[in-house]
Amino acid sequence: MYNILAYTMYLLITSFITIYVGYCCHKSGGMYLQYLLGDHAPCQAINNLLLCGYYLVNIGYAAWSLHDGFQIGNAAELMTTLSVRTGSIVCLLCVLHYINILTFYLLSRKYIHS
Amino acid sequence: MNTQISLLAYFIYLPVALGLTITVAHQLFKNGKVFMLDIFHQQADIALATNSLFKIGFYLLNVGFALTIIRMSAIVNAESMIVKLSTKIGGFAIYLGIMLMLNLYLFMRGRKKARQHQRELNKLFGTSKGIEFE
Repeated sequence: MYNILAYTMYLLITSFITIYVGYCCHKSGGMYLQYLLGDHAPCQAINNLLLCGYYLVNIGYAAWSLHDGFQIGNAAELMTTLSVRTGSIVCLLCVLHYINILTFYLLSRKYIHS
Repeated sequence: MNTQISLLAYFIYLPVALGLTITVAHQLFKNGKVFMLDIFHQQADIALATNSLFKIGFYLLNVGFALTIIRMSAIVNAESMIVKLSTKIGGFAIYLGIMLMLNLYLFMRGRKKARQHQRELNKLFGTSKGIEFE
């Protein structure tokens, strides 16, 4: 019973976080891209494709990471497992986010210096 | 009994850790706007966009870390709960402080770089026409 509850909550929480973060990044990322790549670059297209890829990777990974299953006996274990799983997804998101910022920064430097 | 005390510990730890993260991020990025404006040469829209991107990153990193370290073992009574909880929250607060300083250092460094860049441009193209040539 706890397992089913945990799966449901896990999927709901991770999808909510993924979608919300994606929306925020998409909103302010467009401006950042435009600044870094210049006005001529197709920033909106890049931005939309990035959002699409991001959703695929994250929701896909969140769902895939259920493959080993939860073994939950009581409410405290439910809390622990749920938090640790969600926390690792959020950390993963953070790493991807910083890699993204760094990539665009490096790309823009290459553009400007060449 | 044991399960209930653990559950109580988790229910105290989560709001405290998340509240700390939110407060620190709010303070940091409210004051970080000034640095961002300097880094992007007073262009408000791009400075605010970058500020919010870094804010998202900061929230993700710290909330993720707070959730990942939640596991508290061997809570048998109220005393051990208080000890464990204090250790956890204290450790997390120290970690947050280090992150805050690191972010501040990055802001300072970016600002220094931006000023250097501006000075070089001014030297190359003369003070008044620097922007036109660029």
